[in-house]
Amino acid sequence: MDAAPHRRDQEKTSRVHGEAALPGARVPVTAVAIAVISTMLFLCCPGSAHGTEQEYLVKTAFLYNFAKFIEWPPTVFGDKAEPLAICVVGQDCFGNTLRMLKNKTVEGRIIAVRKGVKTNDIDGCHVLFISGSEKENLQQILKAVRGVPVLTVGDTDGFARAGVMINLVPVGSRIGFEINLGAVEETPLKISSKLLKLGKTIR
Amino acid sequence: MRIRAQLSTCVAIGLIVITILSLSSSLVKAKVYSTDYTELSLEELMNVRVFGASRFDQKASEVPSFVSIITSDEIRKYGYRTLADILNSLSGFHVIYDRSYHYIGSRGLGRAGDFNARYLVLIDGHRINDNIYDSTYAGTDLPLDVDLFDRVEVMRGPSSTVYGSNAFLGVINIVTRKGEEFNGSEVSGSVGSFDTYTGRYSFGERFPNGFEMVLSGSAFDSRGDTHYFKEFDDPSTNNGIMRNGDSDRSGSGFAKLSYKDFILTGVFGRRTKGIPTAPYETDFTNQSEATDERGFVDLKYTRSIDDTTTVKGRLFYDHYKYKGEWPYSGILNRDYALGRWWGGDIMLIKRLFDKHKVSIGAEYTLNKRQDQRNYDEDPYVIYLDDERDSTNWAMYIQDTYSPQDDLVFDIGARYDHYDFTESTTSPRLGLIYNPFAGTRLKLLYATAFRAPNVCELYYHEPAWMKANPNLEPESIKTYELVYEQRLFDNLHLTAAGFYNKIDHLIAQTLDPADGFTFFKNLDDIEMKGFELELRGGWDRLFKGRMSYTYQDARDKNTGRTPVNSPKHLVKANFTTHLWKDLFIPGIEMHYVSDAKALNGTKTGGFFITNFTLLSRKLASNFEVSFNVYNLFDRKYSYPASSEYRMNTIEQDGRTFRLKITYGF
Repeated sequence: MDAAPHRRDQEKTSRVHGEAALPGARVPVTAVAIAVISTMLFLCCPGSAHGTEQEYLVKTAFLYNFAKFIEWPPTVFGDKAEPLAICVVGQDCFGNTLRMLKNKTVEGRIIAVRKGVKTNDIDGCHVLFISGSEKENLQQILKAVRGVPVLTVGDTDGFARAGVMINLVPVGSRIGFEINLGAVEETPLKISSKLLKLGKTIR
Repeated sequence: MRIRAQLSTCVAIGLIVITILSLSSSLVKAKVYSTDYTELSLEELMNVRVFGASRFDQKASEVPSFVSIITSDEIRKYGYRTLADILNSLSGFHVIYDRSYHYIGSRGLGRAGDFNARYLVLIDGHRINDNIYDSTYAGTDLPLDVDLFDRVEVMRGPSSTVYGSNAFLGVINIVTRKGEEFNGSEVSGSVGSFDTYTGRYSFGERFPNGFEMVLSGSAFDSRGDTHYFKEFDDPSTNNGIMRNGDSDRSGSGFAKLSYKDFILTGVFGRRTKGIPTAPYETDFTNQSEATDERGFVDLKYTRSIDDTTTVKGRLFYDHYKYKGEWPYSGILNRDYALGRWWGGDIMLIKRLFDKHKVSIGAEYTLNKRQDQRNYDEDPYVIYLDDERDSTNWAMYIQDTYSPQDDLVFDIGARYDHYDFTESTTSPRLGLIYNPFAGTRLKLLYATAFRAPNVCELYYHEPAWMKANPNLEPESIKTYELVYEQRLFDNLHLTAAGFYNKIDHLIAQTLDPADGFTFFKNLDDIEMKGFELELRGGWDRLFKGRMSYTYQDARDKNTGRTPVNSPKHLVKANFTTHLWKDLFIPGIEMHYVSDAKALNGTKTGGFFITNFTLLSRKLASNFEVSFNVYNLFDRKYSYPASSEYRMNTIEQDGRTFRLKITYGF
């Protein structure tokens, strides 16, 4: 790669020379550090969307579709006017994308979105999206909804196996879903055969 | 003090730009989503592609060191032209250019003139370093167009346990785009400063039967700038002015075919670089030139036998050729090297007892040709004619042991055999601990080596260069602690501290007994420092990353800082979307502090700003980008290696590029 590689890399020769000090060098570093830190603070506003927005736009649409293909026992809803509540537990990755469901209806019911729901506050939720941030608390959350007609949904590797009813998973560059049929069958929820056909059933 | 003023200006402008960008991003917040996915059926939803370039294998995040991933999206938004541009934007990296080749430096060690032998570059897992100089490329000499990158995974620190020789200071894996992603043809062209033109045609498709293909060809041509070198300011050498001497012409082709468990990849590239700097005391008035040619064919096989077992295999054939034309008083001296090698590797990955993931593997390479020649053309005089062949092979085992959900041990060792030099064993021990959601700690102890190459071992020349067949591999030990923290929803903070100890680094020296120069296991170097990186975004509209690196490298014998070892690096990149995505501006800033040059003086620290304006919506299927590199036209130089008469090599001032890509 070189005519005379034997002449390169002679760093030894450089050692005999003294180092030239450059007194002003530290100042710009401080200036840059200050700029970086102030910009960091500036950036640290709590944001909304995590990951790609498109990913969560599509996941929102999945949630909406799941709601359409699940049948809740009629006793769950007080009256015809009671909205279908989609709740998010843990870190909210959806940002504003859930707003798309504002004017949508399922079986004539409007959709209400509740974010930042706590484990002790899931009464009234019909769909419970469990964020990946709740990996450690998953069993506790699942215990709280055991046997209750609440559709649990996640998008974290291993969640279906751990007992979440429907788990959104990447399939190549697309999104697919796994269904833990056992978890669904423990509740009075009825799942449509279409969902079972399209999803991957996990026992 | 001048640089200080410049810096404050840059910082001020940077902050203003950021403020404007963020204000404007809130103005366009009330954005209408183009597609209402809720109108789609489940089947249709399952057909929407959401994970593009940014989704990477879990594997990279499981590496127990500080890893960075740059996606094709960022390559476009920041107008990266070469791998060097990409690396220069990353924490801890400083790549220099001497108008012949780019030299990668990181964590305080940058050996100008080492042809990047201490970094392993892979294209889809295939080793690019050649079998003569260990060289690999970061500039226009890389035989793969940057437009074909899906992502670049950069693993800092040594990884010989996995990859063997050259994985010494870092591993850079380039993953190429999939055929599916092109979904047809793509034509791209650009015009830039100094009569620089590029062109590319690519075709990619995934067919219903699962067959997937990418075919692509690229050309690059640049006249280059006119330079003035004060070292040659004499009437006999054109008063130091070099016109048309900095040309760069390259072409490359790429093919990737995949079907079922097989992927066949072919890469070929050739670059001819006009060398304007008259190295090795060649004639300033006659053009020196270097041509590098690199190609390979690689057949990869991956099969999951069952849920717990995967087998991977690979067969490859590689080619490398170098031709240098060096005029000495009008007589053309030709330097020539030819490397040809083939080989294969096999790997078995098995999940055992639920908690272990064990990989065992073996590699074999037969170096058929490792030839070096040096001669004068007319009158014909031959100085070197060295032909070699050799084999090297390796075996390795690795275990990823996860005793509990939040803890992973990574234990491995690799044995490498080389015909020409001592065999080496490289152990590694890593630990990844997730104490809480959003927090990850990585602890790494690793060793790596680089075997001496045939150039270092056998290059000799009757007048003043002798061979040293007794060279031993150089080695490095590293300790690294990485702390990763997710802040708020979407900011990621990484802090890494490192300590590296290099023994017997191969360098050139003079034998006082006979006056001959030769390569010797000479330098012991200690590198320590830390890196801080913050990356993330808010909403979809605003994204960025910032980093600061403190690095301190010292020669253990003399206590001095090596040449080309800046102490401070600051990097910042921001991008946003303006006017309903019509424009995507990207701004990038680097600060590199002063570094010592060969004669002991210092090259000044510098602050460089690059700006890119990208649009994907000016016309359908068109992507247009306008780039300004070195926006504020700063003067800056890199330390030169010993073959140059100049002590530092000045870099380009402000340059422009307009690039248009059309897909159909």
